[in-house]
Amino acid sequence: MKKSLKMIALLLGIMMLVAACGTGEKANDGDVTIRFSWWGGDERHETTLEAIRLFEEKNPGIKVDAEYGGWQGHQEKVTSQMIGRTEPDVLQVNWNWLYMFSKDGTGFYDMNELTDIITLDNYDSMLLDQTTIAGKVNGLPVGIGGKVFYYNKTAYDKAGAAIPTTFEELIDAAKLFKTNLGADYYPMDLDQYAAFLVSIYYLEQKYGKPFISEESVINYSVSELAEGFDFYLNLVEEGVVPSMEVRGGAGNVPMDQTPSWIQGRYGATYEWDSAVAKFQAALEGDQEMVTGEYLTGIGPHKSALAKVSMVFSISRNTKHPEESAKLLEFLVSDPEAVAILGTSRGVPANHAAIDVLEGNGTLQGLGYEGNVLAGEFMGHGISPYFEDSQLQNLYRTLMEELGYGVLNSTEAAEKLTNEANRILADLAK
Amino acid sequence: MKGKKYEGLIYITPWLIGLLVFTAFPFFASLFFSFTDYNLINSPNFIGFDNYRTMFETDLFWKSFWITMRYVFITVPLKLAFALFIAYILNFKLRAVNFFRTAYYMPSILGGSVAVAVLWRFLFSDTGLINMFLALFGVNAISWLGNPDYAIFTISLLRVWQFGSPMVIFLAALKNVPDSLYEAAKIDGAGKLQSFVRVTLPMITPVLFFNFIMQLVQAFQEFNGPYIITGGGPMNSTYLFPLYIYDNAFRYFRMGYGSALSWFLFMVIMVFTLVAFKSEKYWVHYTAGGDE
Repeated sequence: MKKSLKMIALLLGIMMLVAACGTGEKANDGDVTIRFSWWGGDERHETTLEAIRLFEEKNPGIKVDAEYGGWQGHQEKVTSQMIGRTEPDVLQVNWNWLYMFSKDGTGFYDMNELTDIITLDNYDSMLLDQTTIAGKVNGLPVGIGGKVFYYNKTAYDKAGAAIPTTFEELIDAAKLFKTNLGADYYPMDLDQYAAFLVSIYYLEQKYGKPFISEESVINYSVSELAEGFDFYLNLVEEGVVPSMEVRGGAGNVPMDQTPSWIQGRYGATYEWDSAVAKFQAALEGDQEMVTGEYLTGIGPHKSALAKVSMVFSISRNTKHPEESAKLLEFLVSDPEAVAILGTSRGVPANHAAIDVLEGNGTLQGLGYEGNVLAGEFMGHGISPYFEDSQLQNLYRTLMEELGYGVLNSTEAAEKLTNEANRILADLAK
Repeated sequence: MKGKKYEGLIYITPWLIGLLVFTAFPFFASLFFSFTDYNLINSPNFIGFDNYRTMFETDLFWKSFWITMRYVFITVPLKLAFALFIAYILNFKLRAVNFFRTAYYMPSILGGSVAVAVLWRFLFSDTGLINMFLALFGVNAISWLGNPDYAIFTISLLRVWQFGSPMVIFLAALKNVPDSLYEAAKIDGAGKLQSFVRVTLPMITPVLFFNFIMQLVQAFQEFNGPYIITGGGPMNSTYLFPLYIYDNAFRYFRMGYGSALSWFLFMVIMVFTLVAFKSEKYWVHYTAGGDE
């Protein structure tokens, strides 16, 4: 008796275990659930969720599980999913991830096989080339994104300064900010990465070369790089941008969430056009942002940093390629979806979407203005390795060491050359 | 009766599976990977001790290592001292003592949560509450997170503040010190301080030892605080070893190297724990029912 009770208990236990391990697959017949993940700010989240609801209404039988969050940590999350083959069916990926996860072009679903559903003709071939690896279309380019100078007009008005068009004018604005507003007011904010990008911006405008050559080596000499760093240090010296130490005081916070930005003590930011909405939204009260011209006065070359902003890809492990393709095509070209999404992912690259947005007058505002400017002033573009995490970490550390005075500009330039070339050699292997 | 032996095993099967799949397997897999150039995407190649060699030749490795040592040697003693101090006070028959015990335990319930770290970042930011409070006394704003010399203390403080669990353990130990010993000490003319040093401390050394080991191991593995509050900065001054491991393994995909780093950290913790156990006989007193 006792023994059989024990057996029953044991069996029950095992059953519970098995039940707990079972997948949560819905029992609804015929219903397909696909997962879709993206990163972004609140505006992007809200509009995307709304578009997904519409998609589900129009496509009974397909359910979409949304997985979304901020940019911080997103790459790590997607990486572990890719490795574990548990990535969502549809993913928003950063352009350079294609070269990481899909060196031979087989890392994502080849969209050439889904042309019944996805209209590839809606994209410029030049853009599609950027997401095609070894002949396989690894993703749909969402748009072109550029780093743009955006200004807090309210702050500039209070300081009595005009929105600058040259670096000289920017430096003059710094004086007005200090005298009219206070010592902790700056006409621009640059975090470690933005500080590095502005140095590169300076160099490209002066010398007209991309930072990383097509052979994946650093394209500038040590003395040229040092000049770029000196340019940044001068901006700090002149009170144009807060020093690394002043910035560090806020801790590890995204630029749009630092109190100084929110309260209008930082007068401008150098930001992706697709991300500007969150900077505007973060501003306290009725402070107003405007798009600035690309700052000039350094050299004859165009130097805006622009690239394929992001990409929509489909997992190569998906069990529902057709449903995934349907969702994607809906998001990028359905008139209603496009109208809902607007420019929450920047100005779209899809021609059908552009037509819709031009028709309903959405193509205006900060994101659009910046996008147009970036397209016009675009320099040489960037290497797909430019944004590699290890390189980014190097840029950041370097700018910090420069900013805290641990390295002088020549030492920083030497360190950058040596380490970046070593990392690039590894990446290009 | 022989079947009895295995019956127990069957009962703990769920736990055993967990141990094997989620602890033992990754543990040994990482040892294997530490001798390879595994990068998550390509299959691993055996490269012998290369990862370990690279490690010792990398500046950032040493920097991160020494910062971690500093962190551990600031955090652990402070936290233990604090926990013991509060436990000692809460051991008196105070009014509302239960309320205070709960209140002091609170921070530990919040634990290493992300929300607390975010809160910490705001508290100590240049325009945060701490600086606002100091400003009331005319103290100029201190860059708690921006100054490489202070940042590590700010991170330490977060852990020190969460002294609840060692405190509760200390409290239990203090309650077990027999009153008769204090009375004897009193008769011999010992003051408060003397009876604490001569009676209380020796009596609770086993618990002190236990808490020390636990906190030591935890401190070496600290991740959430620096990751969220400073991101390892400024100038890598809070770049604790677990952050270094994380960056290599999950951001740069250098899984092989990351595994080697993990094993290095494991060895370091092992050595410290072993040294602690070896030292035990010199300062830890176990008394059982009065006979030594």
